[in-house]
Amino acid sequence: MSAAKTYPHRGLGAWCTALAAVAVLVSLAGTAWAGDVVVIGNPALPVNSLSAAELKRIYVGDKGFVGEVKVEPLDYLNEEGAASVFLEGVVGMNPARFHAWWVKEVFHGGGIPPRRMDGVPAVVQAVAAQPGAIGYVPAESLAGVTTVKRLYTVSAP
Amino acid sequence: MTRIRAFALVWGMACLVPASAGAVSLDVQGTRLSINGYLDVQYTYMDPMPMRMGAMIMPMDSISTLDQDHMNLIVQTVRDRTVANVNLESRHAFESSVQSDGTVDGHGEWNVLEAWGEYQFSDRYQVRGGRFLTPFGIYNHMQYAIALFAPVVLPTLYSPPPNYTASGGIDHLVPDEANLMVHGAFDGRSLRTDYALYTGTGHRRANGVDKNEAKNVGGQLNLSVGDQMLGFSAYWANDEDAYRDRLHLAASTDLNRGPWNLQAEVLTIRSATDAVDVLTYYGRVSYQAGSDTVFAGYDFLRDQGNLIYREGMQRWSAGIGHEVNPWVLLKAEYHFHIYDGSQIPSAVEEVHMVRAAAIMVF
Repeated sequence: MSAAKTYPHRGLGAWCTALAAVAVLVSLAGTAWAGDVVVIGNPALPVNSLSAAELKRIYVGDKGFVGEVKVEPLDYLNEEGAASVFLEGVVGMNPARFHAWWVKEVFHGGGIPPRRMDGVPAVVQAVAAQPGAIGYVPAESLAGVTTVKRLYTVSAP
Repeated sequence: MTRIRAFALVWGMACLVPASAGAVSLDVQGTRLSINGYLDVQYTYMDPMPMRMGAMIMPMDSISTLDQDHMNLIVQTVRDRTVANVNLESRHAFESSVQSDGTVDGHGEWNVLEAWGEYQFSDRYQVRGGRFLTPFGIYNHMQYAIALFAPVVLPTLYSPPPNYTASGGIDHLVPDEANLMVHGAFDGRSLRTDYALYTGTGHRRANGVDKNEAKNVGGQLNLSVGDQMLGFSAYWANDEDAYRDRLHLAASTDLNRGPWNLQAEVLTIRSATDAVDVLTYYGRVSYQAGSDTVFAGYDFLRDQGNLIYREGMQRWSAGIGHEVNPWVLLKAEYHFHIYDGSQIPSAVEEVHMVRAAAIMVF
């Protein structure tokens, strides 16, 4: 009767394989978006448009008010394709760098990062319901939507 | 050693988390709660350096340590115009050896470094109350996350050299904390003006006799055009000890052009009793190429009231930082100190130092 063999590294190999699989899935999750992206705002905002410079200042926390209205920029929990178009086109950072930049900004003295929403419908709904809310969505997702203002359009690269 | 291995394992696992999880965030009926974290592990080697023993200066033993230096959790709650912020800090959860004077800070217990609430009337007027680090110069308001934004070894302004806190020196060259602040920004077409006015009640320390320290008033004015900043800071404190009134004045600049960054700052401290007479300044140039950043810098500190720094200490620095990913940074630095003064033993007139750090944020 032979002694049972043990394979101390086999568990580690399985973990590595699982991690690699997760990494592939995560990378596939952020598919690129090819269409235009529209920045939308709540109808209570006292303006009908915002410039790219103003949007950048809002999304990096330098500007918290439009007129007397406190604005709340919205972002995405997951890597929505529209995020790449908007963040790279307006803020100048890709989504991963933008989120990491905000983590550091929190340690910089109390900055408030954009609220992260779970998907385009959630952003449209929050912008329509909350005074001061600003978000960005694929242009095609706004077909028939009348409850938000269109503030700016980012053309797809 | 077991603690070091355990900590290295935990740190390694922790580094895997942020790439997938990010900050912890929770929304409940319009109130947002989020938690962010900072953790670093540092290695330090330092040559024998001068240490004051009464009226004499003696060489201190060399230092070689592996240390978990800072661990911070920031818990932030936001509802409309109101923000609440709590900054929890733990230091030295493990340390491979204690400093030569036998002291360590904390050994891992958690403390509340900051706890404040803020109401935002507008971009121009915001009121903060509680306990928070003062905005003073470039780094002070983020000194808890030191190695994230700066070299691992902060400029002398922010991190007084060892032995600086004995009699004849002051605990901190820049102010610690305040309790009430009005701040905001005036955003012109090209010029942005950030201001802060604050006051603090000071704190009580029991050193045999309770005494109030650092009751303070201060302000900061930063002028920015694009990425170019020029700032001025002032801080007045009243201590019930030998220093009495003291006034800190600083000018700072942060200039950017492409991958180049230049930071420079000068600070002077004067006291009514002439017990403190400090001049310190630094300059640093850095160049970023992709995920790597190299820097070179120069520091100077002179304090007429301190035996070691009476004629000045110079520090030359060079280092490199590498961003493994947006959440994990590695840094390594070399520092060369030159102590001037006839009382400095020749063996410690020149001091070499190497420091490396691994930093993780989420």
